[in-house]
Amino acid sequence: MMHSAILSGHYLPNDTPIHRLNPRAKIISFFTLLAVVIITRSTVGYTALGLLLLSLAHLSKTGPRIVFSGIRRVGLFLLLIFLMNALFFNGDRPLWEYAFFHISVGGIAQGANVALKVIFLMALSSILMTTTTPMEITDTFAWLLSPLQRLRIPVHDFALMISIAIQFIPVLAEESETIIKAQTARAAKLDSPKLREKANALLPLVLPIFISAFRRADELALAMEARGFRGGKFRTRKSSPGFTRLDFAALTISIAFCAAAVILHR
Amino acid sequence: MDIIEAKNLFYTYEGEASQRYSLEGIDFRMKAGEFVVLLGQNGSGKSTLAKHFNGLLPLQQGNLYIAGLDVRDPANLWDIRRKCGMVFQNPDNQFISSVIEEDIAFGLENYDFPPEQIAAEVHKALALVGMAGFEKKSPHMLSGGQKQRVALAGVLAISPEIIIFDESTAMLDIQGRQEILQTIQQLHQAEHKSIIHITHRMEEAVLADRIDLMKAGRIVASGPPRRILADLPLLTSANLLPPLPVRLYEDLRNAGIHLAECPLTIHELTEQLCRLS
Ligand SMILES: Nc1ncnc2c1ncn2[C@@H]1O[C@H](COP(=O)(O)OP(=O)(O)OP(=O)(O)O)[C@@H](O)[C@H]1O
Ligand SMILES: [Mg+2]
Repeated sequence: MMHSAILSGHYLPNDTPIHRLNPRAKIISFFTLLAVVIITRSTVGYTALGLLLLSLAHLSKTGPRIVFSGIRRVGLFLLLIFLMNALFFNGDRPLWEYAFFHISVGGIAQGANVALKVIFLMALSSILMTTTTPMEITDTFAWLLSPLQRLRIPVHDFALMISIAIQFIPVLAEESETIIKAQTARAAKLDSPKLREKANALLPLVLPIFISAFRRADELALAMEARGFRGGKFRTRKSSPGFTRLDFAALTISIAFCAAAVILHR
Repeated sequence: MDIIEAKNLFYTYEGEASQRYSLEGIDFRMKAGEFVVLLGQNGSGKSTLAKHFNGLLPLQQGNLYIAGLDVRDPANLWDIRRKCGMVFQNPDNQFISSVIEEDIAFGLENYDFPPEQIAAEVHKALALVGMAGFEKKSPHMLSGGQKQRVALAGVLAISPEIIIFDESTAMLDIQGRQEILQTIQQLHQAEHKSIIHITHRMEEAVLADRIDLMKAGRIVASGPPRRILADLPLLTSANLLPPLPVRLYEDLRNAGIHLAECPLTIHELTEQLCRLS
């Protein structure tokens, strides 16, 4: 159970400045800082960003355990990215070469660069997810996409659908794990070298997962309808409060970071 | 006026030309404040019937009135769903937010409750199921029984007069089941809600005012638990296993030991046995 809670990057109720931010200001700041993560290449940039994220994690009481649990889960992937770049990237200042192995300062730097970006990205989203409720995220996305409403795209339903889908990921992940365990216990030849056998083994895994996902979606749709949901309608919602000084501060800081990053890495 | 009046309902999932009916001439009436259990083997049509009561399935043949509202009139659909709530089997498939308060607000928002009243209504609904104080928590962190009670609060928030439980206890452990049954009884007795409870468990059916027994799309018997559950041939003909105390009563009788009355619960059975000696 704990496993799925962390997986979903769960909302943790608390009363911190980050929780109190207007969700719109918070999510715009999030995207601005995301841009900073993408732009940054230099040590100075990463140090500044690291310090900012640490203070955000502290301010929001997200805590290192949650920030790092997300990163730990992709740990192997990170190591792989780093090693691929460090071992094979033909960068400048080579240190050692043999056949297709090239170890260079440039390659190591490149590996560290990509790995750091992923780490910062995960940390940033954990902070957003632990301080913002699913409906706040849904409403903000609907608001951001609202220009599309003129094209008769049901923006609010779409945002709700995405938000529910995200929340179902842990449930489905847990279930897939169970199904895979059950089927490998029944000696499915998943690790067979023969492609045909592998495909044959995969089908009984994928099929129940799909069937179960459809059944869940069906029941969820019924439950939503039974509670009076009608698509294509903007529902009443706690009206979004105006921006406070705190929101302007958050936006100013993140835009300043973004401007600095652009100038620094021009 | 009865709160549910169904007359001669027919329903098929396979297009109107098909002869395979999932409901075949159902007559069903229910008084406001009644507690009815729908009993029947898998595929006997319990869910199909229940889904007619809140307009989840369209009326094909017959007449149906919910609290006086004609189900055939599409303009009544939202009012009918508001009068008749439904709790499903798997609590995990009923949440639309991982924050309880937001999930319960879903129905209120659908019915355009004034935003400033929503928090109070959410609290009231949670208090009704004994889950006040869990507003900010995630349903995924709760036990099965707690999850199902939160799902019920989501239904109660819009104050339905009728609440249908479609095998809502089936996936729960003993404790979770007990929690839900207690909540159901409290809603029935203290809040005077009309309850339809669909179940396979005989010990849950005992709690009802009335049991309707379904078989192959028909209601084959309807009456108080004491009559339906003690009727061995009837239950056997509907492919249901009678309650253990009833089977024991019969076995004892065949062995020449006569109890004064057919017991429905273990408790009653014990009393009867004690009286023997
Ligand atoms: N979505 C559907 N499409 C086609 N046939 C269906 C569908 N749902 C139910 N049926 C059929 O209708 C009949 C009645 O099903 P229903 O689900 O109402 O039974 P039930 O009494 O609720 O059974 P259970 O105890 O398994 O829930 C069954 O024969 C079933 O196969
Ligand atoms: Mg059913």
